[in-house]
Amino acid sequence: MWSGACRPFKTLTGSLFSGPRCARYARWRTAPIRGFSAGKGDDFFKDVESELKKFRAKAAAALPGSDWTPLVVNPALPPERADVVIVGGGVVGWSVAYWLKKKERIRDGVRVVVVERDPTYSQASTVLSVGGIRQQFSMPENIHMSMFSCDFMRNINEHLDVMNEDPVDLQFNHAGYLFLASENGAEIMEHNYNIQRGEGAKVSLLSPTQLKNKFPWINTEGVVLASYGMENEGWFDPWALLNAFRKKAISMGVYQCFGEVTGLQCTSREMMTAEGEPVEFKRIHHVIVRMPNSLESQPVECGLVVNGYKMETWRNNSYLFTGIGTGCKDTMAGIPLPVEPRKRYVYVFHCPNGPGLEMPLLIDPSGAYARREGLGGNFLGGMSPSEEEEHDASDLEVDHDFFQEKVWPKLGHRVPDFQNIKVRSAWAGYYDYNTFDQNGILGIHPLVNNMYLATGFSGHGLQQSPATGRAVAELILDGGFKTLDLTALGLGRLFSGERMLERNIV
Amino acid sequence: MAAPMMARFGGRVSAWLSVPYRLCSSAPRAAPPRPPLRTRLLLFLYRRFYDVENLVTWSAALKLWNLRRKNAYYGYTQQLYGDGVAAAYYILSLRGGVRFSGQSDWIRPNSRGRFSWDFMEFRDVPIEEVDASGTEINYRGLDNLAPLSSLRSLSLSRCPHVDDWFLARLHVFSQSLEELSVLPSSDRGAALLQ
Repeated sequence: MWSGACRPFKTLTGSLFSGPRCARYARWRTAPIRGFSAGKGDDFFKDVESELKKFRAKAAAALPGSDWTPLVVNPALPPERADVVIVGGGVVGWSVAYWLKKKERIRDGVRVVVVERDPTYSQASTVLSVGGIRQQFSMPENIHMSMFSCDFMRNINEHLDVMNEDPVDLQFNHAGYLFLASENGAEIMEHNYNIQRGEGAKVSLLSPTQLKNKFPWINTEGVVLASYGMENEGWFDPWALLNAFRKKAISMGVYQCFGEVTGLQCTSREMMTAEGEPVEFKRIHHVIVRMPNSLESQPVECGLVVNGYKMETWRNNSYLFTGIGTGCKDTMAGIPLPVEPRKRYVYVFHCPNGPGLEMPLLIDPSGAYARREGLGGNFLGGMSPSEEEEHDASDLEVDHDFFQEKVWPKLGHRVPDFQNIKVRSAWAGYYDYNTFDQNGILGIHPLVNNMYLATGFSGHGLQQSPATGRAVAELILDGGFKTLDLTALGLGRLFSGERMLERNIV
Repeated sequence: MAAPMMARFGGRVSAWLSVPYRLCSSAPRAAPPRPPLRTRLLLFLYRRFYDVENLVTWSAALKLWNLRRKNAYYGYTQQLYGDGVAAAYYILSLRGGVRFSGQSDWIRPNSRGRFSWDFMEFRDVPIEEVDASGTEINYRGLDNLAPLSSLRSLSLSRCPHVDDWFLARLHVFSQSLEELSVLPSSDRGAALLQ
């Protein structure tokens, strides 16, 4: 306002002194006055303007409706009280948060806090994953979870659209999964196929000749049967899904906190079983969250804790703070959670004459897999090693020799075009491996009354995350499973010793 | 960037994105166009008042419900009158066109959306061509067309809800379909049409 008033004055003086005789005088009069900052000329008006701005900001803070307090509080701390604390900000954690907010019947009915240790997600399984989704499982529960997740992703803009944001684009490639079976696995594949068709998955079996007709670049030597998913299978961008869940959940009122859970304060109650053995029931009442790069921590009083994170061997797992796994060997308290991180490598290679756009995610009978990445002739490939040859999971360094010795021979044998490739890059990520039966663990722990677990998915956590989130939200808010009955994935099987084996692990 | 108020469906946003995106160039991007005053006012009210938020959410839900109603599965009609009649009624109710095998004329509704029920005579005649261009056909509506085993031509230009998922499901027609006309929404769509 003030500076605007000077402009007509300057142009006026400029026009008065614009003749050739007065040129030097004009230049002197109209040159910007670079005086001292005591407030002469232009600077004076600019100072007044900035002072006015500061005054306006202070006035807004003093009026009611502002969040100014005289006691400066770290704004990154989580709230002191919450209803549900979700430990782990991966796709499973945010999916649970979204579904909790979606299913609450009144606005702000449930206060949800998601605690994530690493804001860069540098080691998170979600973002390091290959991003495939398939319905070709052997357990009906897994098939239905994948089918629901596919339905969810098809209508993702109905579910996760946020006002004034771009529509969600998952970059979904519908190329399907192609499992190949040798003599040993053909019977299992046929049995699985019948289960999958029975549950409504659109899968078809191909003989070697049909396979060769459809995909001429495959070497069908040793292949007896192939199972090809025709609909609702493919791969997508996991970071897009994570961010979609996160944005929508935050827009619905979920609190996001970056920090590490360093302790769980529990109260415990000793009770006797019918046989007279003492059992200790615990109940978590506080979650201690420590801020990143700081000693400051905040105890969050909570009603429920949901564990949606992957297990790590070299840090204290937060569930251990409750004492699970540290009791006597024969009791329930002595059985630890059988989930551990397993390192998996993904290699990106370029093949000039590789299979074209129609290439599905091909899985060799040996376990080596490859899929197309983008449109530039790049492919992703990898392999899950056998139990004896598991990689050391202490860090995420890539072993390129594994590709040279184990993966490339298999892929080159199966797809002859892959004998001429060049490795562009590679990364490593963790599988949340369930050593008991390679299936997810979903439910309440019997000894800790208010801890829900959603972990151990062994490589298919991402593709089942919408269904997992909904299942946990139903357990919390409705008290039981309402849409998909996933009691088979509960913790009871860990204690009864009954394995729910998933035969189709990639 | 500002997306329009009712942009619940991805297809409609493209009408607003008139600014070309230069993904790999280092030149400064042009600022996205400011939405009109009406949209900005509605956004301001949406952020401030719960009532406006509820009204906007309900109107979007109503649009979705309407779309689902138009693409409902005519299972009862299929049972009573056969797949052909059900599919023909579905396409005609969406304001598309149908041509039966052996007929040279297309059956279409008039400009007001009304159509004659003559197609009921062709209960056992297979449908050869379907023209669904400009209609609101979507993935769920394909349930009505899936049993048409002798469909030769399908036209899907200018359909706002034909996305990659829809195209991926067209494999059910792989045996009989000879002509497919569609404007794919992305390069991934071209991969699906293999």
